Amino acid sequence: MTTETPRPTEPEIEIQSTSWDLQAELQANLESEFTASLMIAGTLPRAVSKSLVDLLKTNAPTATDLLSALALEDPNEPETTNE
Amino acid sequence: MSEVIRSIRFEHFRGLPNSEFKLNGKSLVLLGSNGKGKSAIVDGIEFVFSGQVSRFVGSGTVSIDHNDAVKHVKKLGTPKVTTSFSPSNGKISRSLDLALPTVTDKESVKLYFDQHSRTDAFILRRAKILDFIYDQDADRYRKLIKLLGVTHVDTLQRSFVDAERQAKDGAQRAKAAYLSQIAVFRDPVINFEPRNINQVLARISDTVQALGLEKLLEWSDAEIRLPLLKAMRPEVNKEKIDALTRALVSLETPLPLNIGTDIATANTMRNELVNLGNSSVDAPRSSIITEASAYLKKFPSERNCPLCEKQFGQPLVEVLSRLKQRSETLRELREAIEKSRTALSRVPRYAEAIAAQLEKDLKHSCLLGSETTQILRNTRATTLRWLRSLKRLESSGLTTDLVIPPRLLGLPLIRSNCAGNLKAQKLALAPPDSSKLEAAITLLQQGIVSHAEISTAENAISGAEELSRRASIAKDAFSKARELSIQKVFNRISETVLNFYRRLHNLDEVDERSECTALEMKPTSRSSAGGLRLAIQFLGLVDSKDPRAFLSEGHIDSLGLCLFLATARIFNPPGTLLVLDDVLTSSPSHKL
Repeated sequence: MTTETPRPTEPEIEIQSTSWDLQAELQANLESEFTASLMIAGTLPRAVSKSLVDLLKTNAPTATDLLSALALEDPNEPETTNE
Repeated sequence: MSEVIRSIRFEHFRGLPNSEFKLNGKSLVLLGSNGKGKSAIVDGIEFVFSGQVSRFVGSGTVSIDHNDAVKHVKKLGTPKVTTSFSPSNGKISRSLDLALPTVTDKESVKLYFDQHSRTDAFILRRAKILDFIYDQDADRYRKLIKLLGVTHVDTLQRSFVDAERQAKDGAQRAKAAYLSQIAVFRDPVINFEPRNINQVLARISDTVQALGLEKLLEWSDAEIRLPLLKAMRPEVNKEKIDALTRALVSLETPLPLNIGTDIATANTMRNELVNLGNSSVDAPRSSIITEASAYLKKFPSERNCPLCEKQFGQPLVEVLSRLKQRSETLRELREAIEKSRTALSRVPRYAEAIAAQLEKDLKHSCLLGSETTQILRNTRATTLRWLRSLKRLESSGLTTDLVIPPRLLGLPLIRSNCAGNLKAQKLALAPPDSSKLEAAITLLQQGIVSHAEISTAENAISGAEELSRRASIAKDAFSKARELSIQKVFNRISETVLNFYRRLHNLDEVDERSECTALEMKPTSRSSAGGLRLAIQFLGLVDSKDPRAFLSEGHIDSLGLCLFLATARIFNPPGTLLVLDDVLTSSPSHKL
């Protein structure tokens, strides 16, 4: 005995099929969220914030790279605040 | 992508007969009982695009010889898989005896090949779904991140966590060094536990005031008060007592022997470098690789190496993938080298300080006794020899584990015993009514000798604590940014996942609510280290839960499938191949 497989009658699923450059968008999100979070989180010298955001763009900064950036000081400028 | 697969041909591959499947750009569904070769066809597709069958390599496959597994059971010829394309009539074929595939020299075929270089992005096997869903939260998240090709976000997270830990360790080390120096001024009799150098100055000031002198406003006043105190001594044994006091001050100055952590780090990193199997010469190459990757991404039509101008032997995607892999290995190498160097650069400073203190102790050798003097001389000689070898190691790196010379470990006890003897001698020499005066002189001398170093140590704490504070802010900011960015990716995927899920389970046709109403990433208990887990919202309840707690096994299977389908649909370019192996067993048959 042959069993006929029921066939769906509804139209095909309409789901977006355009490809998305995940890496580029994730990187852009990461940089903007990180910049915003640094501003909200607390006070860091401008040079530190800038250097950290720049490091995100490099391939793979190590902890030592980050610590070097964190040790930077602004040249005779007050610290940035979130106020 | 304009090309479609017209046919796939298998020769001497696994258990398949030499055969050709004509697809003509359409989907191919294979039904059959076990052992009929359905999965071998999936293996063949994976082989032609990646050069390997992933289920025969990696962890848990030690006993499997990949090449042997790919060959036909009767070993009649070299395994070869060929895909033919329409409309170009181009071909991509791969043979086990050749390192590289043969790709027809047509841009559209090359592009098709380039866009299928990551086979895990378009081939899904049932075992992978089960692996994914039944894994621990963190592992499940890691696999998804790998599937999406964004593992570098987690590498960054690890660097931020590591930087925070190193900065915190630095602050603790600075504080420990400071407390050990200031501990000399502790006085349990009057319950005096100084927290800073100003409290020490105030205590010394009180002591000299009690003896009728003016209070100390700053440390330079101490130098002025000392001869005045000494002048109050009775003439008997005055010089001898003074010499004993100076020797005591030296012997009671603590030695920096808290080098265990740095030595342990240096040894751990040495072993890691051995495991990485690279030399430190490789580390600087990571920046060249970073620049090369950036250059090739900017100029994707480049077919030659920008350095030697030779033509690449592989498609650009494979070159970039290899560069990324190499870059990650070199990053680990660089990290290990940097940690090892930092730890190794601190140990000689400890050794120098120990040798310098022993030299100060030995200036009082006429009071220490010949045996103690000889021990201290020998220990100093050992320390200096160790220091020379440490300096050589700083440039050459460790070849064997670093060990503290055993002689140094016994040093605190020897110095403490010696100081005890000198105190007893001093007590015997001093007149009974001069104990307060002698205690004040000792205290004042100790302050004069050590206040500058203690102030330096105090400043070092504030610097290290500031670095630690900044590292915590940066880590928290990055963790938050990472969580939000990944959540955005998931938000993008989750709606599509749920659409697939509803359609697969016929939820639009019958009056049934979807069990799974949202999908999100949530921090785990290890969120400070970057732990994230995949969670679902069940029947619209507010809290998201682990899917395993609420869904049947079949539903969990299909949730995993939907997740893969949504990921493939959203991130793969239109026209990308989709290969599913045995993943539909628990889905309603009419949804096939």
